[in-house]
Amino acid sequence: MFIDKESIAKKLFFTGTVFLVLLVGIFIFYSNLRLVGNFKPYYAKSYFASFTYRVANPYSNLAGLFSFFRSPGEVYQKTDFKTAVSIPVLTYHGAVGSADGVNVEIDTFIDQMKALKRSGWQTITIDEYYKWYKGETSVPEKSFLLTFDDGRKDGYYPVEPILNALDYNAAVFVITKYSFLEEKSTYYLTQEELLEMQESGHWEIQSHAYEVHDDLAKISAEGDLGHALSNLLWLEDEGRLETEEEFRARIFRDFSESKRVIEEAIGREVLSFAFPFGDFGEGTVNFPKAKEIILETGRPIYPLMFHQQKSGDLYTFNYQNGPESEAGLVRRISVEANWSGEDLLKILGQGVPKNFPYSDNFSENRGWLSSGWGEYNLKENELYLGASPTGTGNVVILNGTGHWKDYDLDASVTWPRGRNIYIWGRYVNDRNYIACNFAKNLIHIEQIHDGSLNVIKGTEDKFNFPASGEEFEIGMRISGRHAECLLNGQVVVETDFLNPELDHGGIGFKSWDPQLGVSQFIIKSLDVSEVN
Amino acid sequence: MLRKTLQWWRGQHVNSWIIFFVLIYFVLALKVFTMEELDGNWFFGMYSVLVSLYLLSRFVLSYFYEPPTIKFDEGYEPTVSFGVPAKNEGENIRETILRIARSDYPKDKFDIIAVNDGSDDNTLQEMRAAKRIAAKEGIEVKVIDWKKNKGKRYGMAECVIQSDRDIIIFIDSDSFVEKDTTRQFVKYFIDGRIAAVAGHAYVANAEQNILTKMQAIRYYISFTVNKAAEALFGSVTCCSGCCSAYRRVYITRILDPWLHQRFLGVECTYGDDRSLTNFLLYKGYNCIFAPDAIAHTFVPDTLNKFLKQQLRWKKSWVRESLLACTFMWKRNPIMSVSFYLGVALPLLSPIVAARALLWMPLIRGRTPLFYIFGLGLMMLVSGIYYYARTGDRKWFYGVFSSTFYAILLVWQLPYAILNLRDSRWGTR
Repeated sequence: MFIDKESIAKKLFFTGTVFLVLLVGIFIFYSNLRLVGNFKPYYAKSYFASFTYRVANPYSNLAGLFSFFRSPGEVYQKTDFKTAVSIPVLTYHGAVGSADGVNVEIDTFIDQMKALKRSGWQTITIDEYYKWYKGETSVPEKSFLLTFDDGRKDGYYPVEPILNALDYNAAVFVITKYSFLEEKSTYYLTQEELLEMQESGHWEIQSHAYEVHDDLAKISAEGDLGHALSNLLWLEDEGRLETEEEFRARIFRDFSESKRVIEEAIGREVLSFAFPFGDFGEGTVNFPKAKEIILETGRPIYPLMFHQQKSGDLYTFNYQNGPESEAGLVRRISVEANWSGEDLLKILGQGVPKNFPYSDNFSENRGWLSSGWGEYNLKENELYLGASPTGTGNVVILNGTGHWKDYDLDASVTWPRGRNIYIWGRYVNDRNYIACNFAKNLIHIEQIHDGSLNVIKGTEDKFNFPASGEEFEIGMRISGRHAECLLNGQVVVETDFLNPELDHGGIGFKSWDPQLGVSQFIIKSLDVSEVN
Repeated sequence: MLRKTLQWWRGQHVNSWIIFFVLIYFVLALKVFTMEELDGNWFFGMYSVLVSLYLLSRFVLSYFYEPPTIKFDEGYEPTVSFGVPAKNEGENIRETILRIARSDYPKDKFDIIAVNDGSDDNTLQEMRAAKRIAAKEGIEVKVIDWKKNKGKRYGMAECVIQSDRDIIIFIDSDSFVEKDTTRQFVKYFIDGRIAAVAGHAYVANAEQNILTKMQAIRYYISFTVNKAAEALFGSVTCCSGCCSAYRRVYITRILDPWLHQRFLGVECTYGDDRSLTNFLLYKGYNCIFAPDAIAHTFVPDTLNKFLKQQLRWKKSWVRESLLACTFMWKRNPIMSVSFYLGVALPLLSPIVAARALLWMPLIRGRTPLFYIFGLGLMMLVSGIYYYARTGDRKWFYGVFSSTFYAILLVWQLPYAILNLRDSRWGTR
C-alpha cells in the first residue's frame, strides 16, 4: 500500500535472495540436525573435504544428485565394464581426530577414500556382494565393500560426509546390546541414529554380535580371560565350564537374537555377521571344536560371515567359488592407522586379479604374501624364502591369482640349502592346492584337498640339480585335471587325475627342511602363461 | 587482550548487516532444532516458531516501508496548530514551545496552543514567557489555563476545539521538535485517506544513564521497525503522544466518544494517544509513520518512573488492542494476521515463560537453555540491527534493553491486566 513502486522490485529481489539463502541454510542445518549434540570439531574436516571434493568434481556431484533414479541392482547396467573376479573388503572402526595408533585419523581416512575413488574403486552393498558371491549377478572390477565395526559414533559422523561426496556406501556392524538395548550411549550409535543411517540409503546395518563382543570373559577357574564367542565360559555359580550343548545354545541365541533385534528395529533383512575380534574359533583357548560349532551354528542364520585377514590367510580379496569348508566366510583387510591413501591403493593393487601372461622379476612386490612361518625377503630382483632359526621353511603366495585355472609356470631359481622346494598351484587356501615337490632324489605331484595330502604321482631318481647358488629352471603346467612338473624344461612327472574340485587357484612357492633353520629358496624370475 | 580483539574486529570492517543475517539464520536454526526437541507439544512449538517469525517479519515489512516521495507537492502547505498539553513541566515547557516557534514553516500558517492542566509549579509563567518571545517573532501562542487538573485527554481535546486549522500536531511538553518536523509531517496529508502521522521520537536524554540508553535503543527499534511495519498497511496502532500529527477535522468526528471513552465501566484516563489512533483506525482512516518527522523527547531516568510509565503503557496496550481486535480484520490481510499475532503472542508470553523458567526446571529438572538462548539471540538481532542502521556504539545496551523489556513484559503484563480498571494517573 505505502510501497514505493520504484524500489519494490529491487527490495523484493533482495528479500527473496536473503529468504532463499536462509531457506537453503536452514535446509542444510535441518539435514545435518543429527550432528547437534554429537558434533566434534574434527568432523568439520570431513565436511570441508566433502565440500571441496564436490566443488572440484561437479560431475560426480550430478551423479550423486540423480542417484535416486536408479533402483537397487540397476547400478551396473553398463555393458562395457569388466566384471570383478574378486572383491576386497575393508575394515574400519571409526575415524578419530588425533592419532591413537589404532584407529585411522580423519585426514588419513579422507586421503584413503579419495585415493580409492580417484583410482576407480567403487563400493557395493552387502546385498550386491551376496548376490555376486552366489553368482547371481556380476559387479564391475574394482568393486569393494566398506565396513565399520562396533557401530561407533565416530564411525558414522565423520564418515557420512565423505560417503556422500564420493557416492560410496558402507556397512556398519553393530553390537546390538549396546546400540539397541542400553540407555542412550555417547559412544555407540543409538537406534535413532541407525534408523537415520538406514534411511540415508548408503548404510547397511549388520550384526556384530548381541553380547559376545567381549574379550574379557572368564574362561577358567583360575580367572583366565578370553573371547566369549570362541571359548567355553567358566560358570562361576556352578564352578564348572559350560558344556558343548550350553556353548552351542549360547552362541545360537547370540547369533539369532542380534539378527532379530536389528531386523525388528530397522525393518531390513540382516545378511551378515562380523566376528568380534575377527575370531570365529581359531583364537580359542579352551575349546578346539569352537570353530566347527560356530560355523555350523552361524551359517544357517547368516549367509555371510566376516572375519579379519589373518597372517596365514594368503589372499586379500574374496573369490566366488571357494571350498565348501569356507562357505560364507568373507575375509577383510584391516586398514591400518598409518596407511596413506597411496599405501592402501598399493595394498589393494597387490590383491587385484592378475592376468596372463604374468612375468615377475621381483623388482617390486607385486603381491607376494608370506605365510609368516619363516623368513621372507623381496629385494634386489629376487624373492627369498627360508626357515626361521626355529622353523622348517616358508611359503609365499602370489596375491590376486586365486581365479587362475590353466597355466604354465616357469621359474628361474636357486636352491642354496634345504631338503625340499615346492611350486604350489591351484592354491585356494592352505587346505586346498596342488604342489610340485622337488627334492634331490624325488619329484612328486601332490594334491591337498580339504587338508589331506595325497601324492598322486612321483618319480624317484638322482636329479641333476646344480650346485647351490647356480640358477636352474623349475616349472609346473596345469590344465584341467592334467598336471606336469618340469625341471630345466623337461617334464619329469605328470598326471591326468587331479581332483576335479581343485579346478582353480593361484600360485606360490615353499621351502622346507625338517632340520630347523636350514631351508633356503630363492626365485629369480617367473613367467606364467595361459594354457589353452 | 579484549581490546586487541575489538580492534582487530573493527579493522575487519565486517559488514554488520552480514552479522545481522547470520544471527537471523541462527534464530531460525534454533527454531528448527527446538521443533525437533519439543516432545510433540504443539502449543509451545507453535508459539516458539510464531514469535520468531513475527519478530522477523517486522524487519522484513519495515524494510519495505518507504514513505512515498513522488506524489509530494512542494507547494502543499496546510494550516497547522501545535497542541501542547502540560502539567508541571516548568522545566522544559518554554523550550518546547520556542522550538516549535522556530519551525521552518510560514508564520501565518501555524499557531501553538498550550494548555496548562492545573500545574502546581511555574508552568503557566513559562508558557506566558514563551508566548511573549514567540510574539516578537510573529508567532501566535494561545495559552489556556486550567486551575484544576482535568487530565491530558481533556487537554488534547481542548487543543482540537480551540484550533481552526487543518492539521493538529500534538507535542509532549517535554519534547523538542526540529526545524523541518512540520514540513515532514504535513506533506503526507495531501493524501485524504490519512488521518494521522506518527513522528519519529528520539530520546533526548539518551546519554544520561543506562536506563535511558536502553530506552533510546528501544525507541529506535519500535519506531523504525514496528511502526514502519504497521505503516506499510497504513495501520500504525499508536501514534505516540510525544509527537504526532492529525487531520483535525477527522478528530472532530470522533472527539466525543474518544473524550468520554469508558472501559470496564471506568473512564479511561491513560493511553490517550493509542486510543485516539484506534478511533481513527476504526473509522477506516489510515495512520502512517514519518521517519523524518523528528522529535526529541525526555524519557524516565529513574527505575521507578520508568516502571510506572511501562505499566501505564501496558494497560493501554491491553485495552486498546482488545478493542482493535473488533475491527482489525477489516484491514489488509497481512496486517490483520500480524496484528492478531501481535496481540496474542505477548498475552501468551507469561505462560510460556512460566513453563520455561518455572515448570521445566522445577518439575522436570531441565534447564531452560533453549528459551534463554533463543531470547538472547532475538535480542542480539535487534541490537545488531540498531548498530547496522546507526553505527552507534550503544548498540549493546539494546541487548540489555530487550532482555529487560522481555522480563518486564512477562510479569508486568499480567499485573497490568489485573489493574486495568485502576485509572490513577501514574506519574503524569
